[in-house]
Amino acid sequence: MALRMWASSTANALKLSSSASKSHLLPAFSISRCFSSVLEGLKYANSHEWVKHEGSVATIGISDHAQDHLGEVVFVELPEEKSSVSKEKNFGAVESVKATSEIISPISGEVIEVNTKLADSPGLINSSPYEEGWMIKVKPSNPAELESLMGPKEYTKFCEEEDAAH
Amino acid sequence: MVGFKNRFMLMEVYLDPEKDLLGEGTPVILTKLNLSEAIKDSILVNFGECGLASCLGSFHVAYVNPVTKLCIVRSSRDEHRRVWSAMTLVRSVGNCPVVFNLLDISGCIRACRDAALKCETEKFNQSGKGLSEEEIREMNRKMRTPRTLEVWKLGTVNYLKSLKLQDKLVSERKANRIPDTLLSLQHPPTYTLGKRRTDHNLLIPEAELKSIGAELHYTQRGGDITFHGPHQPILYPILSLRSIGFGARSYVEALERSMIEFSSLYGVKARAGNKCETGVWVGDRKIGAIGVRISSGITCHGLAFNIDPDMKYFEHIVPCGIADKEVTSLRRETDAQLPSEEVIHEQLVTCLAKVFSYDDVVVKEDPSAILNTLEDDD
Repeated sequence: MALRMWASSTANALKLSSSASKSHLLPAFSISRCFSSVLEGLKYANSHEWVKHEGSVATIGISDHAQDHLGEVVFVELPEEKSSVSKEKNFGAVESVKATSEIISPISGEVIEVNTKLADSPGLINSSPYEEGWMIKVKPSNPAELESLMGPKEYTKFCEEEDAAH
Repeated sequence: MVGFKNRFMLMEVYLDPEKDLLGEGTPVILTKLNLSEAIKDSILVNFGECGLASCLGSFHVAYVNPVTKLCIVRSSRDEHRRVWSAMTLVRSVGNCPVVFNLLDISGCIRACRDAALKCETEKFNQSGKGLSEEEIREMNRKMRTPRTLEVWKLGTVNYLKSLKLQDKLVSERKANRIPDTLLSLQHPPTYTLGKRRTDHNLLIPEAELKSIGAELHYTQRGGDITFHGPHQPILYPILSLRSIGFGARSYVEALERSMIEFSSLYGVKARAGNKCETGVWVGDRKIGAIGVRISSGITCHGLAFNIDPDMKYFEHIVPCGIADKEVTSLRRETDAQLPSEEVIHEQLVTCLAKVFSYDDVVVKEDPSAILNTLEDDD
């Protein structure tokens, strides 16, 4: 556990992309799931989306853990600008390996910008889920909703428990 | 369903056979992975590659408790003696010397689980020492109730009706009012498109579809254009991904494995697709297709396997958007005598239940029970 947090902060400090940080630093006996990175400074939902709150703008995307479990993304469906999203309701979908998965919004608000690069390069979600693979920017209508989301440590634990439960 | 006859063996693993500690300072932590590696190595050494290959399909470590050192291993009835003797010959797990001891063997996991529970309670009573919070939580999590799959055999169902039915079942599953459910059915000749609406892969004008007796439907599933029709069994699993511990990719891989396992019943060597060619292939020919939708963690749509559909229908599309590959069917790939469609559907369902490690399969044969309720909702 300590090793993972160390690796995670090293990866962040060196600004390594998520695929590089998934290195095989696993101790010999651990349950063999590939380690996904969790960034500091973001909030996470239990449906694996992240929110970066900067002033009046919140950026939303899906976590490294989520993109790893999805497989290679081939298509992204996003809402239009000026539409509204609601907490815990789906706002779009991602297609990978012949499976379309819904993306759930962690907060409510109005969509002010959509990442148009994803239409041509949906793979950005896999290669850079926290940076280039951002999905929408939202003006939060209720900033208190951010409090109920998980911080990086809680989210890491949540992912581990999910993976280990089977 | 007794298509596959298994034996479940309850084994106790003695680590460093001089000592027998309970939960404290053990030299190696037993996990499903390291146990199954050790047993497979033993089968390979003692029975060769042929022996390993024949055991591998049904071999599965179903339960491991690192605290009490009990494990339940499943094997097919035909191979269980081989697996049993290989386990007895295992000398070490990781770097730790071990000895396996068989406690119980039975034909269903329920009996094995009961024996395991009995043995574990005795161990705890004997040892008399307290376990940490962590260890107790670990144990409770592992002693889970058996997982059941409810299967509905629906015969031939119109595509739109099946979509409505799936929507209904997905909300029921999400609200936990029904267990994991599987629909086993066929469709009348129907072309379907996925979320990306790749209708450029339909090679005849929509207007002409009626003349060839087919319908066209747009859906929210992943995947490209495909054809469904008679003699092509379809399975729509409505499962909670969280409760089975899968993500989208591992779920789709499990669907592929189910079809590969089914093909092997007829001696057909199928394989999963390469990157971006999800599905099941025999050589360069596609025999099974997958298209899935995951909504709030519940799956719908699923897989379709070609037994003997009318292949002419495939000529009117670029199947799955892959232009230079053929479509094939079980009829074309094997000379074996094919049993009735009913038997084939059952075998396909059994393969899926096995790959997804369901303990119990409950078959519901009265389709009107759920199909008719759809009328009421309109």
